This record gives sequence, structure tokens and C-alpha cells, in this order.
Amino acid sequence: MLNAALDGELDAMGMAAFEAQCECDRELAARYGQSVALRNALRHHAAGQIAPAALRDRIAGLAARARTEGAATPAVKVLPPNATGSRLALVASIVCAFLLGALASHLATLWTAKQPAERLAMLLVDDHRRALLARAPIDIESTDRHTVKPWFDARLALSPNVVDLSAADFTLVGGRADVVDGLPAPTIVYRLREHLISVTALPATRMERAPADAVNGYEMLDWRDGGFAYWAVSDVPRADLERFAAAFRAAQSANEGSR
Amino acid sequence: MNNADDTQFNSVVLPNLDSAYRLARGLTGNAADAEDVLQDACLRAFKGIGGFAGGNARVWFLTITRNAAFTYLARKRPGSLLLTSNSEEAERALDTAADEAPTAEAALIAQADSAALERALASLPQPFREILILREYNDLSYREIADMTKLPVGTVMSRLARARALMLRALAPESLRKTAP
Repeated sequence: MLNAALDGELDAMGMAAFEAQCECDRELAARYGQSVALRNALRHHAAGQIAPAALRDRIAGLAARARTEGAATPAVKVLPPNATGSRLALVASIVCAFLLGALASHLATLWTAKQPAERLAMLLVDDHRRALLARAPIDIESTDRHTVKPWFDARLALSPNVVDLSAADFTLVGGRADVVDGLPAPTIVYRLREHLISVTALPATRMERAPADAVNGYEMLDWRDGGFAYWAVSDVPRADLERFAAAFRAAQSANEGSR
Repeated sequence: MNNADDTQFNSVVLPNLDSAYRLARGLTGNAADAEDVLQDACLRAFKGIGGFAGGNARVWFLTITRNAAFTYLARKRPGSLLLTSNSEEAERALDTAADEAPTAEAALIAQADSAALERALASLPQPFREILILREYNDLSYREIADMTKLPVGTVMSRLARARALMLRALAPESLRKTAP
């Protein structure tokens, strides 16, 4: 109670109760007085301890130095054979820590720069897999492209090309609304034999390109057309997916030509 | 290292240097060691700044400083650190000793000079000194101290009370202490 009162951890009620107790308990009051004096003495003592200016300067320059040292050729500090004590070792280890830190962050930057495309690929693969696991892989089921396209229009105010590829063995199954980076992304679903192909239409402003290799076992292809970047995801062999993309693009341009 | 990290380092670490320096001084007991600890803590903070998820910057940096101080002490003065297991024993042993001993009067404490305070602080076992310093030097709440030290709040409170009792006893004049039972 005394300590809690001293440390301001009592509420108003508790504090009042403590003060009332002090009134009638002289010993408690005396101890409280001592404790207050001790606290004040310690705080006064601590207030005099401030980080020396030289140390402060060294530390303020840390960030800048780490950057330039990281860029320069790594200087290898050679310890004198009689190693004048741990001080030198400490300095050396600090230098090493700097260089390692700088190198690590440099690598991290390189790595994150490559990230967006991989991240997007993972995202789309996940959407595709989630759709496969769901009871129905689509939100609107229709083999008629004149049903699917208006559905996207009405739901998402986005209207990607929906083409009829039945001549090339790809049956239109329907469409679903995915969400990519917080924005609705219309996804058209086709079927080849028992495999599904998801085609997601992303804004053409996205600069990512599909990876050349399968992601988690799913092949991906992307192309741009009419204000959209289309990404196709499927577990069909890559050759089939390429055939699909070619058919899709051909139908797309035929559509536009006929308009 | 990118500029965002630099800026964050400057806004998270630099304003809390004095606070961290006090903690390092209190834990190591001298200025030279405190400087080494603080420098190491800044390096750690610099490397870990990306992991700072917002929240209390001072507590974040003090936690790093505390860890740096323990690493430093373990290397430089092995044996000076009382580990948690035997601190419980120390707590029990001190229970009997500290309570009946006479303590310095408030007026006397107010006049205690820095050297006397340092001596008294140095006489405290590490677990008690640490809590007292986090509370008085760094002005952390019980909850913040508990989070930082991974101790229950109750233990923080009992150690703080014990640390104060020991300080008051250590600051009592020689003549009084000799007559103590």
C-alpha cells in the first residue's frame, strides 16, 4: 500500500484511504516520509546522469555511418597479437555488426524488390485454390458469356472481356469476385476436361509479371489487353495453359474487331 | 538500410538516450560500462528497428538496453548477476534481516550525497536494484516493469518494497546500524 501510494498506482479512493491510515499510524507516516525522501534523492541523483555529448554524437551518427560503411569495401580489422584487451575486440565486433547489419538490410531490400510479383502470384494461386475447395468455385454459374459479363458489370463496375472458347475445348463455367490488395478483381472460370482455369482481370497499371515457373504446382500466365492485365491460374500442363491464353487473346481481338 | 529506418531510429532511439543511459548506469554501476552498454544497445536497436511495431518507444528501447546490459555484465563480470532462481532465495533471506533494522530519517536521506546513494544502490542484490532503477530512474509503471522483466506484477511490487527497505537501511548512519539486533 505504501509503495503503491508512493508510485502513484493507487486510485483516488485508495489514496484517500492511505492518507487516513497515515493520520493515525505515526510509524507508517514516518516510513512514508522516508520513502518519499529516498525517491526524491534517487530521482535527483538520476537527473544528473545524462548521456555524455560525445556518446550522443557517436550514436546520432550511427545510421549515417552504417550506410556509408556498408557501401564501402568491408574493412577487416586486424587485432594486434597482444590484443590490448576486450575494448578492441568490442570495437571490432561493433564494426562487424555494422557491416553484417548493412549487408543484411541490403539483401533484404533486394529481396523485397522482387517480392510484388511473387506475392501477387501467391495471392492469385490462393484465390484459385480457395475456389476449388469451396462448394462452388464460382459466384455466378453460366456458360453464356452474355450473362457473366453483365454480372461483373453490375457487381464490380468492372467489365473484363468474357469470351466463348468452346470451339477450343475450354468451357465457360462462370465468374467470381476475388479481392486483390483490397480491390475487387473479376475472375472468369473455364473448364478444360476436369481442370479449372481461373482468369483474373487486374488493372493494367499493375507492373508485375507472372512467374515462368509453377507456383505451388499451379502454372500462371499473364497478358495485357483493353485496360486489364489478365492472369490465368490453373493446374493444367503449361502447354494447355499457353493454348488457352492464345485462344483467349484471339477471341478477344475478334470480339473487338466485330464491334 | 533505408531512409525510413533511419528516420525511425532517430525518432525512437535518440529521444530516449538519457533514459537508457540512466538504466545502463544503474545496472552496471559506472559511467564507462554504461557507455559501452548504450552503444551496444543502439546497434541492436538499429538492426531491429524494422521490428518496432509502434507503441511505447521508450519501453522498447529500454528493454533492448536492459538485455544489452545483461549480456555485457555476463561477459565482463561473470558471477555478478544473480539469476532468478536464487533471487527468490535472496528475497527470503532478506525478509528476516531487513525488516527490524533501523532506517535513516527522512531528513538524513534528503541530504544523502551521490556517493552514498551509489554505495547503497551497489549494495542491493541485482534483482532488487534493477526494479528500483526501472521505477525511479526510468519512471516506469508496475505494469511496464512487469512486461519488461517478464515478472508478475506482484513480484515487481514486493521487490520494489524490499529494495526500498534495503536502501533505507543502507543509508542509516553507522552508529544506528551497529546497535541493530
